[in-house]
Amino acid sequence: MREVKSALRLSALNARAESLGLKPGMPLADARAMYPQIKVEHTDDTADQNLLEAITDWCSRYTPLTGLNAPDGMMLDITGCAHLFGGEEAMRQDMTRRLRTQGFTARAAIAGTVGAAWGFARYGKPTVVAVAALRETLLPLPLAALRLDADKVDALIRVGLKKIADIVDRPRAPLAARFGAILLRRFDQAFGVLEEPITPRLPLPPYIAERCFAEPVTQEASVLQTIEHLAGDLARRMEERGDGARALQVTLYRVDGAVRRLSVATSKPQRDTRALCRLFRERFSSLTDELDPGYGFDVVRLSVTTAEKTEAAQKDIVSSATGSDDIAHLIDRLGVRFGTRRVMRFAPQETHIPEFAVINVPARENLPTAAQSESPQQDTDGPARPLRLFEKPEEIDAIAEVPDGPPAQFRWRRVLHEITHAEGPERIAMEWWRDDKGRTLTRDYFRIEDNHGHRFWLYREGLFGHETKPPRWFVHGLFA
Amino acid sequence: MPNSMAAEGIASLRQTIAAIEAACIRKAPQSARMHVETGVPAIDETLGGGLHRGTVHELLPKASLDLGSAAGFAFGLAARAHQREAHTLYIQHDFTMAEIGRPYLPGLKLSGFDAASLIYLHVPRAEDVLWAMGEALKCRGFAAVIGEFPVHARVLDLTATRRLVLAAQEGMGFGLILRHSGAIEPNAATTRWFVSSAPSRADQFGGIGKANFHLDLVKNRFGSCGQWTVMWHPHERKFAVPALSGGLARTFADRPDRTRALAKAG
Repeated sequence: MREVKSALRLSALNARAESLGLKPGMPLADARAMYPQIKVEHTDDTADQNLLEAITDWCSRYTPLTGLNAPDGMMLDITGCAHLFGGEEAMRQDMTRRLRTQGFTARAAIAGTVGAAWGFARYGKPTVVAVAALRETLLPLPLAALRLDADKVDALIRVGLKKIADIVDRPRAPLAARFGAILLRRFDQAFGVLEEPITPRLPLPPYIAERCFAEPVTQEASVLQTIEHLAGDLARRMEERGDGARALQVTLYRVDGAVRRLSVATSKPQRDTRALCRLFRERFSSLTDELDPGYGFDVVRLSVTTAEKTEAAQKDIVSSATGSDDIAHLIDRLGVRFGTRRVMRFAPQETHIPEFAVINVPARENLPTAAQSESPQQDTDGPARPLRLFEKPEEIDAIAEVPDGPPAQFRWRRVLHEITHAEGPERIAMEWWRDDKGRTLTRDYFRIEDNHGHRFWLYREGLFGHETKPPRWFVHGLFA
Repeated sequence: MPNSMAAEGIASLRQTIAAIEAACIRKAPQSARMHVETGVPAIDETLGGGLHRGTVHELLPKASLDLGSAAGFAFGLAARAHQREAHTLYIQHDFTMAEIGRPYLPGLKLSGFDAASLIYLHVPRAEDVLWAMGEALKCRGFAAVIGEFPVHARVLDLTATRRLVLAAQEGMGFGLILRHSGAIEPNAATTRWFVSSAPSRADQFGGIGKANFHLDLVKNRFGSCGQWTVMWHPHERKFAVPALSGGLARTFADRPDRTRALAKAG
């Protein structure tokens, strides 16, 4: 049941309730009056939507082009797929049978147009409608089969138009004037006069290979073996067209309808079967939750979601010694296991502010060669920048000369350091455009060595007297 | 007649192959492929030619604050190990990254390390550092693999380090285990070094000089142990024993562009 205009009404019924004569849309109070013992639940639209999406995903085993048809249906474009399942009728029956074993009641119809298929599935005999017979089979259907709103259908019935046959030969202009252009558009779409695309739930991958099993597989090893086989198949096809895979996805269809997708990405176009398999092996072993096979997977599909042109390279004895391919492959594997954001390179940036002077770029990408910033001015033998920079500067207690001398001693992490060498200050003003409040303070950096030879990079935040009264001191990095 | 022609063809092919192989070998001299020389003769002699490739070495800071020096020593060795087009992998544990910072690109550059060749990985668990290190050591093309382990990592036991050594043998990798100090279990690392900072000598203008390290070799499978104080030369990219007398200060009458360099007590 659901609340419609502040009254509780029935929204969906099971077969038994329907046989008692209850109807969707009936007020709950009326239904209770007829049958006090009926059990009602609140409608959960989100759960319904999720379930429908899951079923749509499951249906992608029949065709890669699946679309959601909310609130209670889905559309599959099976052009060129039906023969894989032994013809359209066999495919339709297989689909309904499989959904029935999962506990769903489904009505499936196959027709030449989206509109007609919708109408047949809901109001006609769910079957395969031949393209030639489309017109005469559509005519006896009620007008609701044209995907019209309930009030529009009511209005049509009130003037005596009940079936599609009733409007097919009528002049179009008065119909459009009275019932709106939508009526004629739906009419044209059902009869195939107007084209209607399906909005696919997932983008269509450029390469797909799949394997169906009569007996579901449960072992991870056999799944991997299947992937290897499929990867070999894809590699041959990609080679013909000079493509390589940048991103791949394996889709596992479980017998009970659950669909599991696992993706991997590569740093350069790849069509080496063994390399691709190793990536998937890594992906499987890095799963935090088990790859739960349940009663087994009956379809394994491997698709290349992103492909890129790559030139055929001849394997060279000499160049294999440098191992740059090895590195690219290792980067891929590390990325698959730990996440690509964790494998990175450092790239310099044009800024004086130390913490912004480096950005992390994923190691998979090529380094931007243009971003070669100038190194800070080196005026002594010791490096001007530390080897390690803290994520966050740590505050210290320092005793320093006023107004802008280096500290004489400081305490950091409860250890007192006596300073023997100090260099500075190196004044770094903050960039005003980075801070919208315009309150960031100038920093005076000092390079410091204590009596044991430990070297620190300290700074005083704020100019004494101008910007802040008691300046605070921070340690920002460690030198070698 | 055809037989002799075939034999001639095979002989010429053999010559071609020999030439290619010779070119491969010439690219890297034998000693550089086996060892990473520090540049200090005394140390290299003790180690039998330098730090061996195809195995792992363990570096520990003497005190927790010496971590900067230990990392500096590791990056110095990685710079020594660097070859053309090779990469260095630095693996860090998330916790150590938060506690003591991550490698900083401008600093690496100024220390003479080819920062463009650095690949940096940070992982959530100490076991992951171990795993990634093993995989990288197997892979040809890394000049050095540095793995930084947190203080209480109990993963570096004999079995785990033996596995790392085998992985390094497989790919002739050069592995450096950088540990924050902690209890030391016996392990399979070829050498173990305690690294601490040594006070530097002021440069000729009284500023902070080049970085000095105090090295304490406490385990060496190929020879005796020893202690040295060395200095890292960022431009020459080598370690050297610091000269006993400091460079003479060549003072110039006017150098207005110089930053004020302060020298206190030394």
